[in-house]
Amino acid sequence: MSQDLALLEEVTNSDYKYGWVTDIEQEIIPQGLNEDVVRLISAKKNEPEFMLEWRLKAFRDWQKMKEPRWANVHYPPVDFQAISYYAAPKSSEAPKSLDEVDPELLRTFEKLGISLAEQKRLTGVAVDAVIDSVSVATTFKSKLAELGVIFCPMSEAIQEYPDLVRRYLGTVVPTNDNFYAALNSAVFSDGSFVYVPAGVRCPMELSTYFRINAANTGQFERTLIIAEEGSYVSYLEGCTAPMRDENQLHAAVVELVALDRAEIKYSTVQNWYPGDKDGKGGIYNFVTKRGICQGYKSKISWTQVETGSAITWKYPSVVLKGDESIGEFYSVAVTNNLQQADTGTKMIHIGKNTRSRIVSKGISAGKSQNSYRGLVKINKSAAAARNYSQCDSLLLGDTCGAHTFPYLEVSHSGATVEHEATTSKIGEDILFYCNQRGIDTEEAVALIVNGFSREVLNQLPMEFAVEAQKLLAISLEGSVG
Amino acid sequence: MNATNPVVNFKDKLLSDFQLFEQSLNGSSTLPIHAIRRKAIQHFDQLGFPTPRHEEWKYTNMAAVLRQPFRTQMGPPAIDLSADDFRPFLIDDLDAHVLVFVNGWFRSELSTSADEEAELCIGSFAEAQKGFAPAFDQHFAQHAAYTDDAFTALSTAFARDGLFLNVSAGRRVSRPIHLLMINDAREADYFVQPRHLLLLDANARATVIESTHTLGAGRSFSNIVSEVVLGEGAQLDYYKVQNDSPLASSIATIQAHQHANSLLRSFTLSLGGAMLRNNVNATLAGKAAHTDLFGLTMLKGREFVDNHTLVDHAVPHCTSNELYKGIYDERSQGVFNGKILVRPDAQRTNAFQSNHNILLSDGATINTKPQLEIFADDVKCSHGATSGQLDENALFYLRSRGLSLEAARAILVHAFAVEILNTIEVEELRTKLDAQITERLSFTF
Amino acid sequence: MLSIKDLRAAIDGKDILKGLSLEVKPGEVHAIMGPNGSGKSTLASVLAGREEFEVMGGSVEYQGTDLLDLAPEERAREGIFLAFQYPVEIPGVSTANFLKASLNEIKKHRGEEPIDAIEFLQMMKSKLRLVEMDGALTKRSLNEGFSGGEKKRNEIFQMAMLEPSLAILDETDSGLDIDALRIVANGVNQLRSDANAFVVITHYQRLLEYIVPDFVHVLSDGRIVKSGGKELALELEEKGYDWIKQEAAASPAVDAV
Repeated sequence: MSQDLALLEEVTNSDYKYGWVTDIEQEIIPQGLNEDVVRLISAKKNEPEFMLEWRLKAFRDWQKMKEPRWANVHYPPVDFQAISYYAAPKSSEAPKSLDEVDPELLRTFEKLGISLAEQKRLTGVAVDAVIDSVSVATTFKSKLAELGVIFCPMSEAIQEYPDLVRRYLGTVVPTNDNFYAALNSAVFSDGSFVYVPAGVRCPMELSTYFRINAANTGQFERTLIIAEEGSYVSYLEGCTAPMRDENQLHAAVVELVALDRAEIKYSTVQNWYPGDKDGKGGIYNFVTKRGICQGYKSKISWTQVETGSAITWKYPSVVLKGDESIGEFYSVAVTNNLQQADTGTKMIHIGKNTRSRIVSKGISAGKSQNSYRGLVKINKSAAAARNYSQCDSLLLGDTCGAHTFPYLEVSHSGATVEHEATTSKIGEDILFYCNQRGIDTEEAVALIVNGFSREVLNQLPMEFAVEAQKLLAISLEGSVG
Repeated sequence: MNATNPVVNFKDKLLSDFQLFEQSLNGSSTLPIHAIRRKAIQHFDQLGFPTPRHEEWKYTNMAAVLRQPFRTQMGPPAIDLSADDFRPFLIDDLDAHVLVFVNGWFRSELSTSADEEAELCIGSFAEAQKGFAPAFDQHFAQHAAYTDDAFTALSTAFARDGLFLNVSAGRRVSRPIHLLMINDAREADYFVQPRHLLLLDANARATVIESTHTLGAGRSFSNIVSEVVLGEGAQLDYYKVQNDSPLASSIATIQAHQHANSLLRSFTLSLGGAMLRNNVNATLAGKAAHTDLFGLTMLKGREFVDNHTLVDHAVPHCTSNELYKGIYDERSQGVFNGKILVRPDAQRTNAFQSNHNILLSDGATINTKPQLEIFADDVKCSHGATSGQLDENALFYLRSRGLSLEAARAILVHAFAVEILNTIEVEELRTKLDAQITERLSFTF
Repeated sequence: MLSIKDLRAAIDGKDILKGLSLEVKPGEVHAIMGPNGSGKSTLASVLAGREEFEVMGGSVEYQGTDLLDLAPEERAREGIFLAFQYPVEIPGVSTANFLKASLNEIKKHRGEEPIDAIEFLQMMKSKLRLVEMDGALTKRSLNEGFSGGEKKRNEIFQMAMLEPSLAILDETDSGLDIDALRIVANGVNQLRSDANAFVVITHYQRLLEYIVPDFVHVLSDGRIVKSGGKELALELEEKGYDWIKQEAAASPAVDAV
C-alpha cells in the first residue's frame, strides 16, 4: 500500500501536451453579450436575414433561462459578460486554398498532429480545422464534391446552402432546448456542415479539429450532419486548448439527421485542457449533441473518448423515431485530479422495433468525480423496443468518486429494457500478477484500463483508436490506486 | 395565498391544525419534544408539499391526493370498533402480538397484551412521550430528517401516537408484533399520521408486521414515519404489507440507524392502494452491519407505487443487498428509485441492488432509477434494472406440456413473485400473501 | 399416427425444411439423423408448434387431425411430447407443481378427473425410479441449477409422467455421459408400447445402440435423403454424412418409408 502511495506522489500530474499558445494576430470583439453582439457576429459572417432572426430569438429565449444545476458538478457561476464571443485569426478570412492559409496556423495544426497538407494526410480522412470562432481550412473538399458530399464550415454552408441549413438547423436541438443550446444558437460562429446525398457511402472519414487559442473567449461551434436516404458517413472530432489559469467556456451544439436506412457514426476524442492538478483553469465543456433517426431502419452511433475539460456536461442522444431504427452510445470518460464529468446519453424510443445500446465506461482517479447519467425512454408507441445498457466504473484511488444515475422510463409492455452497472477497482492480485511478469504498475494500469475500455475503443475508426488509447494512458499517468 | 388551490388549502389547514394543537397543550408545550415539533412545522411550512419538479418526486405527483378535503384526527377517535371489524385483516394461524391502531391512535382494549414478555416495552408512543422512557427522548426525531422532507416534517410536528417498541439488550421477542393500522373511512375521509419508534438494544431481536387497512368506501391517507435504531448485533425484520382499498393512499417512511453487526431486513409488499410512496432508508453506521431490502409490487387498475430506497454505507466493512420486483397490470404505474451511497472511507463495502419489472398491459408504466454514488474505491457495488415481458421460451415450454397460454402466463408471473415471497420468514404471512397473489392470477397448482 | 407430407418451414425468412415427408405408425421408433444445420431441430420445433417457425407449405396430420392448426398446448394435450434439446430453466416453479398442472390439463382434455395429491406422489415416485432421478429435484425450481444430465433426465421423467402417444426426442443424448445415456435410454425403452411412437432425433449413432429404432432417416438440407433400417445408422457412423450428400446430389429425394 505504501508503495502505491509513493507512486501516487511520485507522478502527480502528467503535463498537458497541447497547452501552448499560437502567437498570431487575432481579431477579438470586446467581452460581453447583448443583442448588438449577436447582430455583430451575424454581420461579420455576412449572414442572411433569417439567420439573424433565428439568433435573436435564441438570445431572447436564453435571457429568460437559468443555468442548469441538476448535474453532479460544482463550479462557481460563469460570468457570461466576461467572455468574448468572437475571436478569429486575422489572416483567416476565407482562404481559397491551403496555400492562402497563414503558415503559422498550418504549423499550429501540425504541432497538434493534424497535418492539413492533403498529401501527408492519413489516407481517407478529410479535415475541417476550426480555431476559436472560425474554420481555417477544410481538406479534400473537391474530392468529396464529386460524390455530392458537402463538407464545409458552417458559415460557408449558410452562404452556399441556405435552404438546407434553414430546413434542418435547430430541428433536432431547438434554440430553446436548454440554456447552453440557446446561448450557442445566439452566438455560434462556426463549426462543420455535412450533407451526404441519397445512396452515397462517404468514402473517407470526415473530421473536424477544434482548437481554442485566444484567451477570455469561449468556443461555440455548431455542427449539422444530414444523411439522406441510404447514405453513410463517419465523422470524427478532436479538441484541444492552451493551458490557462482561467476557465474557458465551450458550448457546442451538434445535430444529426438520419433519413431512411441512413447511418451516421459520430466519434469524439475530447481532450480540452483539464486544468492543472490543483483544479486551476480548464475548459467548461457544456455540450448538447443529439441525433434523430428520422427514417425507417436508420442508425446513429455516438462514440466518445472524454479525457479533457475541467467540467464536462454532455449527453449525446438519439431520438429513435423511424421504425426499426438503431441508436448506440459508446463512451469512455476519464477524470483525474479535480476534473468533474457528468456525461451519458438519452435514448428516446418512439418507433416500433427500435433498438438502442449503451456502453459507458467511467474511470476516476485523483480527486475527480465521474458521473454517468442516462435516460432510456420507451414511449407508448414503441412496440417491441429494446435497450441494453452497461455502465461500468473503475476507481483508481480512494479520493475520487464514481456515480451512476440511469433513468429508465418504460410505457410499453412489449419492450425489453436491461440496465447493468458495476463499480470496481483494479485488484491488487491483478497488479501483482502483472508485476510478476515484469510489467510495472503504471503500465499495468494502462493495460487494464485499455482492456476495461476495449468495447468502446473498438468502435473508433482505426486511425484514431491508437491515438485514443495513448490518450487514456497519458490522462491516467501517476494515478495508481 | 391562492385560496382556490386545494393543495395550498390543505397545507393551510395543517398549519392551523398545529396552532390549535399547541393551544390545547397548556403546560406540556415546554417539553423538549415540543420544541422539535415547532421546528418541524416551520420546516414543513417552508418546504411545502413536494411536486414533480423536485428530483425525488420526479415521477410522483401527490396533487391528486393532496387536493382531497381530508379531515385530520387530532385526538383519540371515538370510533366504535370490535374484533369482528378487523378479523379479516389478521394473519391466519399466526401467533402474534396484535396491536391495533385506529386512525393512528393506539387502542389497547382491542390489542393483545404484551405484558408476558418481561423487559420488553411494546406499547403506545403517546404514553412513551410523556417522559417515562428516556430512550424516547434520546432517539425521537434524531434519525428521520425533517429538514428536507415535507412529509417527515409533518409527521414530526404531529407525532402523537403510534408504536413505541424498546427491546432490551439480548432479548428476543419470540412472537411477531403485528401492527394493524386501521383507517376508518366509513363516515369521512381521514388523513392520519401514526409515528413509530423502534429501539432494539444490543443483540435484541424482533419481527414487526405492519399492515394498513381502510374500512368503508371512503378515501384514506396515511403519513407513517418509523424510526428504527438497531444496537450492536440487533436484528429487526420489518414487513410492510399494503393490500388496501384502491382509495387508500400512504406515505410510509422507514429510517433505520444500524450499529455494528446489526441486521435489518425490510420487506415492502404492495398489493393494493391508490397512491403509495414508500421510503426505506438505512444508514449503516457500524462495522459489519448488513441491510436486506426486499420489495414486491403487484398492481392493477390505476394503482400507483413509488419505492424509494437509500442505503447509506457510512463506515467500512458493511454489506447490503436489495431486490425489488414489480408486476404491473392494466393502467397501474410503478416507480423505483434506489440509491446506494458509499461514503469516503467506507472501504470494503459490498452493495448490490436489483430491480426487475414486468408490464402485463400496454397501459402500465414503470419508471426506474437505480443509482450508485461511490466515494471509496475498495468496494464491490452493482445494480441492475430490467423491464420486460414474460420469457417466450419458458412460455412455449409450458404450453408444450399442455398448459394454456393464460395458465402459462399465470405460472410465470407467480414464479416471478416467488423469489420475493421466499424471502419472507414468517410462514403464515407468506402463505397469506401467496394465496392473495394466486387468487388474483386466478390460477392454482 | 403421424403423416408429414412435403413439409416446408422457414425462420426469419430462411428456408430450413424444404419438402420433408415422413410416416410414423403406432409402435414404431423412427430415428432422424443428419449433419448440423440439416433441419433436425426445426422439425421437432415445428411439430411442437413453435411460433417463430413459419410453415411455408405441406401438411402434418396427427391421429386424423391437422396438427398445424393446433396451438402448442393443444398438441400436448393430444399426446405429443417434445423432449427439448435445451430445456428451459424456470425459477420459482417447482417441477412437481408444474407437472401436476400439466398432467391435470391433459386429463381435463380427456374428460378425466384431476389427479389427487397422494396418487400424484405415488406416480412420481415410480416414474422417478424409472429414470433413477432423485426425488429432491422435483421440489426444486424447474431445471434451475440442474446439470445437463439432470435436465435431460427430467425431460424423460416428464415424458414418463405424461404418457404421450407420440414422443419427439430432440438430441436428448447430447451432453450426456455414458451412464446418463443408459438411464435415459432405459427410461424410453420401458415406455415403448404398441400404442405409442417415438421420433428420436440424434446426431450420433451411439444413442441408437440403446434405443433400437425400426427406421433410420437421414436428413440433409431440409429433406429426408435416405431411409433404411437400424443398420443405416451404423453405416453412417462408419462413413460419415458426406457420401449421403453426394448420393443425394446424384439422385432425387427419396420418400420416407
